[in-house]
Amino acid sequence: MQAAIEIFINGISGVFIGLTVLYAAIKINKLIAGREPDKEKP
Amino acid sequence: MVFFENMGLLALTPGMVFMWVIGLVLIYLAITKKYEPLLLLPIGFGILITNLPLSSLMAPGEGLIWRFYHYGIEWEVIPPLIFLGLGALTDFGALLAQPRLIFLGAAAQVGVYVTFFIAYSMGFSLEEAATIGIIGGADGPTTIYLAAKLAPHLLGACAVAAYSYMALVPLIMPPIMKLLTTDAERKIRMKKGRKVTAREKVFFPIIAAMVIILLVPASAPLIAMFMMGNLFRESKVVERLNETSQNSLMNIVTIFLGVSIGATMSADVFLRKEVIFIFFLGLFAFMISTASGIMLAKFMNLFTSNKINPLVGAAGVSAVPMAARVVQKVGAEADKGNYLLMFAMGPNIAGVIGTVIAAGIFISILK
Amino acid sequence: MATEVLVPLAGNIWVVLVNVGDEVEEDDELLVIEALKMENPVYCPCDGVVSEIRVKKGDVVEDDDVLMIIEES
Repeated sequence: MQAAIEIFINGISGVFIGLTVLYAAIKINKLIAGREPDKEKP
Repeated sequence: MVFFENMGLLALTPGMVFMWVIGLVLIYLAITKKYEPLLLLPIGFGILITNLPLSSLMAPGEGLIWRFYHYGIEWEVIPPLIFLGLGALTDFGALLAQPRLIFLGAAAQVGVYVTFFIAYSMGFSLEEAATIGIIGGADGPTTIYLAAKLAPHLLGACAVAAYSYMALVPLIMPPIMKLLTTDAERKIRMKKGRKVTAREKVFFPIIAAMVIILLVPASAPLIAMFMMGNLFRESKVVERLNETSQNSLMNIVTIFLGVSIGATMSADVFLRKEVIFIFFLGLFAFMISTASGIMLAKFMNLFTSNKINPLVGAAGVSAVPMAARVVQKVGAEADKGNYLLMFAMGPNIAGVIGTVIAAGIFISILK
Repeated sequence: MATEVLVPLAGNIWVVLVNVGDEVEEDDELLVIEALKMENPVYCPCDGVVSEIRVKKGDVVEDDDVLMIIEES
């Protein structure tokens, strides 16, 4: 039971932490690569 | 005559005949009702042929289908290749335009863990419970990948449960969506996100792969393939590879995947009471995931003036793009000029990444 | 007064349901956009007459492109 609780907590936190970091990465990506007026055409 | 001695007919058991019925039902659902036919048709046929005795199709070391299963699934090659194709088919634009939707994809994974906990309490081992829980992630290849690693004896049941419920999402999700949202909430129109540049779309798979693999290395086989496929798509310079990943490769791998999964479902493996529990738990997982996505959206609305339509939270259940289509439909029922489809794609694809992270975490703890 | 009918979500024009000169009412279906294999009707924003149609079946459209112009009556 102890192990299951540990996995439960690690798991949910892990998913949120991972996706929060990815969220931050997307925001940074926007800063470095997203210039609105200069939309690139193929 | 020797001929009669070698007949498979003599070794038939009632269990096998029952499995024929299941195989035929899946084939029927695939052909007539068009439920996930790309998977359910070969799975159904695989079930049928594996339950015809003495064929040695699944004989370890020598059977034809055993070889597909062993080298493709046990060696964990096929699910990552499917992710290569999925990455090439995925447009991350909806997520990049409105990044906060990523959290709805995270919330939907709560269903995975709640189900994991309940399965464990019911007597399943930690590994088995994890495999059953991941059904709630609504992602076929991830479910298969995790099952092959942690609980191969449950692979067939979990895969069939996952794909069946993915096909049934239009039936499973709307009642929960209507129960947890008010009419006013369902009518919320969302502001369009900003335009995403081509450069952002090229950088994203590279950044995402690095970030996710650095945090959860066990997710690497699936995430690396997913992001490489996406890079093929967005770079626009490898159209041959992109096209192959989306079409030929996906199709080839799907064939091997389907028939291998079906062939693991022999009567002695499948006809156990655990399988009934798995089907109930799988459904429960989908329902909790739908609910948690919606609830997080409602919660996020307390802190922002740019309201999120809570229905969009349900699309965190990563049955792509089925869940997004269901959101569109339920949203249009409340307000026919409300086009939630592209907003719903944000959490939908975030959910795929979320489920892979969840699987990676299970693997790193349980292996 | 001329009202523009804008694209509500990116996709392909599946079918155009009206012609130039047709009288239309608010909430009539003007055309259908296909996105992610779903058919999405686009509704008329006001009463009036169709004065311009700028798209045809098969065209790929993006968010906020102009689909049609309605002369309000």
